[in-house]
Amino acid sequence: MSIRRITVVQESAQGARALDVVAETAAALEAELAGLFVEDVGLLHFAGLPFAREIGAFSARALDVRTMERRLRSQAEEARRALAAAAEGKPLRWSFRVERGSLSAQVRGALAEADLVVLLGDRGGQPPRRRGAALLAAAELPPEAESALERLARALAGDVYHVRPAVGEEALAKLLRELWRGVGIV
Amino acid sequence: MDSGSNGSVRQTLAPAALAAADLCRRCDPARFDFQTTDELADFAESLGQARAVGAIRFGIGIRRDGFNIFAMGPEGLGRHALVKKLLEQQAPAQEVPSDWCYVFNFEVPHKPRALKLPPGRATKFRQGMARLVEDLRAAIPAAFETDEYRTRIQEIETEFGERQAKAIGEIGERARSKRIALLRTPAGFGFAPMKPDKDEVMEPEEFRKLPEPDQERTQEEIASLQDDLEKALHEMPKWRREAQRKARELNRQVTSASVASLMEEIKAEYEALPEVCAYLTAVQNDVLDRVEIFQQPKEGEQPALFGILRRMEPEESPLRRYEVNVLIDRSADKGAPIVYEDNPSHDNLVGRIEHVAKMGTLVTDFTQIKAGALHRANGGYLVLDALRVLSQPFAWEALKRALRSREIRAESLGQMLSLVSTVSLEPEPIPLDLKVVLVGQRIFYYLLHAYDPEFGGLFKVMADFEDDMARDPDADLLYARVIATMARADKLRPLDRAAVARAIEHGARLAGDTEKLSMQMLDLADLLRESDHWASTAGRAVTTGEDVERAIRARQERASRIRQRLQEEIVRGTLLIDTAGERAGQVNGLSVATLGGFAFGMPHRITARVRLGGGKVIDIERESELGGPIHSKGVLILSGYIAGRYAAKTPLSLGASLVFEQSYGGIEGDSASSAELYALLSALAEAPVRQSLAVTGSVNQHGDVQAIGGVNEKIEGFFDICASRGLTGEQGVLIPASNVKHLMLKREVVDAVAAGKFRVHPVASIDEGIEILAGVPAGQRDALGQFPERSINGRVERRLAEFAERVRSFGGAAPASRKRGRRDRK
Repeated sequence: MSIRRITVVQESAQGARALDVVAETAAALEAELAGLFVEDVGLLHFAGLPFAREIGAFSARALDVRTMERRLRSQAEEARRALAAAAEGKPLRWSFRVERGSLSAQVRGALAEADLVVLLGDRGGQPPRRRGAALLAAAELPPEAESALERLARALAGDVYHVRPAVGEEALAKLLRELWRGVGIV
Repeated sequence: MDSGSNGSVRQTLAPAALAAADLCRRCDPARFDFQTTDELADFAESLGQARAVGAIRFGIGIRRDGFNIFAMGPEGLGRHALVKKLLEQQAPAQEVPSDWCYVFNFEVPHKPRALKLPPGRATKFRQGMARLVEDLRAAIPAAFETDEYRTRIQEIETEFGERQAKAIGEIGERARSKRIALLRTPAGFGFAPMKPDKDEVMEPEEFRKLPEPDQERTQEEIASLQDDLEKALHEMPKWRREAQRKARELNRQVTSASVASLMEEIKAEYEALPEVCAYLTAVQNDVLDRVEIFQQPKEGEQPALFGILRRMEPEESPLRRYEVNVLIDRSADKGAPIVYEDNPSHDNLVGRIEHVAKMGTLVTDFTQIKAGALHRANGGYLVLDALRVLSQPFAWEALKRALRSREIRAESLGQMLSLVSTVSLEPEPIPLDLKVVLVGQRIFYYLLHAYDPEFGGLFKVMADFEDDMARDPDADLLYARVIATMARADKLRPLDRAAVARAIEHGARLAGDTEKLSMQMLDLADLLRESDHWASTAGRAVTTGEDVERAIRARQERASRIRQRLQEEIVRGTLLIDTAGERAGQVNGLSVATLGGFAFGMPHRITARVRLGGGKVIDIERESELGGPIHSKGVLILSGYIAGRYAAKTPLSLGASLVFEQSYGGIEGDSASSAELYALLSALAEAPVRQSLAVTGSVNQHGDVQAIGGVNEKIEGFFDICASRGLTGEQGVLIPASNVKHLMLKREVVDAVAAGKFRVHPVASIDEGIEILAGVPAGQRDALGQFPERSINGRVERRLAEFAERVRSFGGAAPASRKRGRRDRK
C-alpha cells in the first residue's frame, strides 16, 4: 500500500512554504492532494454567546457570530488560494473543501479516506504556537512510503505519528491537544 | 617758453642713409664650427630665464606657508616645461607622502573618517580588511553552527515558549476546572462555558436555558479569567525582549572569541598606528553587535520589496561598512608627487562625493568619496593653469580655501551649492601640505594682486619669465644648442649651420631687435617642424637654410591674404599712395596692422591743409572719433612744437587740419606724429615733399624724433608697394634713429639697399627729416635769430607771421576762433 491521497489540514494562508513542500511531495508520490479547512464549530458557539469577547495581545473586544463567520470564510479563502498557488505548475491533482465541525472529528474523517493527514501548524502568530507540522499517517505504510514521509517531516520540521484507523474522537482530540497546543481547546 | 631757440643752436645736416649691413644683423653660419645640429650637445638648462629659474627654485625650496609660485609670462615661452623640469629635479629627493583612505565612522555614520597610512600601506590595509570580512563570514556562521550554540539558543527559545505556554496553560487549567474552555480565535483568545459532559463549547441556546444564577456566575468567572489572561498577555512582550536580549548576549559570547582571534592578527600588523588600531577596535565592537549580517542568506530567501523578488546588489551589502576606500595609494611613487591638473574644476581639485541611483533615489556612502588633484598632489606639487582655474566656477575659491585652511574638504560642487538635496556626507578633512605652481599670463598675476586681497598672501613667489634674451656672441651658440635639443626631442631632421643661422635671425626678428633673441619657444618649435616638413618635401636628409627660409615665407604667405589685397588696391590706384613725384602737404605715413598674430605694415597718405585760424590743429581722426587718445596726444604735441618754435612772440594764428586719407577703421598710436608734422610744415612752407619716401616716428615738443614699434613691418610694407611698382632708387623710409637697433629686415630689402635701389634714413630730429623729404635745408637761426629766407623753417615762420598779421588786421576774428577752440577742447 502506497500513499495515494494526502489531506492537508490548513488553518490559514500561513506557511505557504510548508504547503509548497507538501505539494511537491504529493506530486513526487503521484498522490492526490486534498486541502481541508475546518470551520471550528466551537468558535461559532463561542461567538454566539452574548458576552463573547476576544482577547488579543493588544486589545480585547466583543464578538458575534456574523463576525466570526466572516473571519472564518476569509481564512478559508486564503487557505484555498495558498493551496492553489502551491499546486500551480506541478503535475498534481488537487482539491479543496471547507467543513464545519470539531477539528478532531474532521481530522478523524480525513484519516478514514486519506493515507496521510498533514496538520500545518504555523498559525496567525498568536502564542503559544507550534511551528512546523504534525503528520498523521495510517498505521501501515510500505518502507518506501515511510522514507518519503521521513523526508517530508524533516522538510516541515514536524513529527510523524502513526494513528490506528479506528481511533476514537476523544482519543484523537487528546492527541491533538498534546501535540498541537493552540488548536481548538487548550 | 623759448623752446624755439633750442633748435637754433644745432647745425642740421641730413644724415646718410643706412648701409645694407645695418638693416639686419645677420647670423653668419661660418661662426659655427658644427656641420649639423647632430654634433651639438643637448642644452639641458633653461635659456635666458635665470630670473624665473631662481624664483621657482626659491619657491620650491622654501617650506613656509603661502610661498606658492605664480609662473608668469606670455604663452609659448615654455613655462610649463620649465616648471616641470625644475620640479622633477627636486621631487625625487623628497620623501614619499602618506597614503590616505576613508573608512566608516561607527559613531557618526555621515562623517567618514580619514586614515593616514605610511606610503604604500593603504591598499594592503584594504586587502587586509577584505580578508578579515571574508574570514568573519566563514567564522561567524561556523560559530553559530556548533552544537553548543544550537543547544543554548534552543534553551532560550524553549524557555520563552514554555514561559508563555505555562502562563496561558495555567489560565486554561483554571478555566477548565470551572468547566470553562479557553479557545483560540483567529485573532486571540476567548472563554466559553463547556458542556457538562463533554469537552465541547456549550451552544448558546443551551447556555440561555441555564438558571439565571448559573449564567451570572459563569459570566463573572469568565470576566475574572479574561482579566487574568489580559495581564498574562501584557507580560509577553517583556518576556520576548528578555529572550531576545539573552539570544544577543549569547551571539556575542559565541562569536567574540573567534572575532577576537581574527582581529588580533590584523591589529598586530598596525600596532604602530594608533588611529588604525582605534578604528579596528571600533570594527570589532561593531561586528559583535551585528553578527547576524555575517550569516549568508539561505538559498531561496531573497529579500522582497513590494512583493518583487530582487537580487541584492554588492553595494547594498551590509558588510560594505567594513570596506576601506583607498583615496591615495603611493605604492608606486618615488619621491614627492608632481600633479598637473589639466581640467581644474572645483570637483577635480577638492575631490567629489559620487552618488549611485538605488530604487529611484540617489544615495552615497564613504566608498563614493573620490580623490581630487589636491589629494593626489598632497605632500608634493600641484601645477595648474591660472586661466583654467579662474574660468572654472568656484575652483579658485576652493583652491584658496584649501591653501588657507591647510586642509582638503572633499565636497561636490552640487553639494556646496545645495543643488543636491539627497543623503550627503561630511568627510573628515585631510591635512594639506603642498606647493601650488600657477602658470599664467602676467595680466592675471597683476589683476589678482590688485583685486583679490588673499592672493598676495597665498602666492608669495613671483616667477617672471623673460620674453627675449640678450643676443651676445655666446647666445647664438646657446640658441643653436636649444634648436638642436628641440629638433632631437621632436625627432626632426638635423639642421645644418645655415638653417640654424636663419632660425636665429628669425628669433631676432620675432624679438624685433638686433640685440635680442625671442624666447618664444613654441614659435621656434613650430618653425623647426615646418622647416622639417619642407626639407622632407624636397627629399633632403638635413634641414637647410633654404628650408627654414621657405617655412618663414610659407607662413607669411598663408597669413597674408589681407595684406596682399591691400597692396593690390594700392598698386591698382584704388588706395591712393604715391611712390614718385612731389606734393606739398602730403606725406606717406606708415601703420602696422596685427591680425591673428600676423603683423604687416601699410603706407597711409597723410595730408595737411592750413589757413588762418585760432592756433588750433584739427585732428580729423579725433573729431570723427576714429582716433584713439594716444594719437590725439601726438597731434596736440604738434601744436606745441609749432607754437614754441615759430610763434613764440606772436599769437599762433594758424588753422590746420590733419587726416589719414582713406582710413575707415580706427587709428591709434603716435608713430605717425612726425609724418603729420612734416605734412603740416610742408603745407605751411608750401614746399613739396618727395612721395617716394615714407615716414614713421613720433615727435616731442622739441622736434626730436622718437622710437616707435613695428619698424621692420613698416619698412617692409612700403618696400613691397615700391617693389611691385618698380624700385627707382629714389624710394626709401625715414625711421627714428633710435630704432636702428631694431632693424631685422627681410632679405629683399637688404639686397635692394645694397644695390642702391632703396634707402632707410635714420632721423633724429624734424629738421633732419624735412630736409630729406623736401630736399631743401631746414635752416638754422643766424646770429640775429632769423632763419635763412629760403629754408623750410624760414618759410614756415614767415607764413605764420603773415597769419598773425592778418588776424591783427581783421580784429575780432581770432578771439572768436579761440573761444570756439576752447569749447572744442572740452
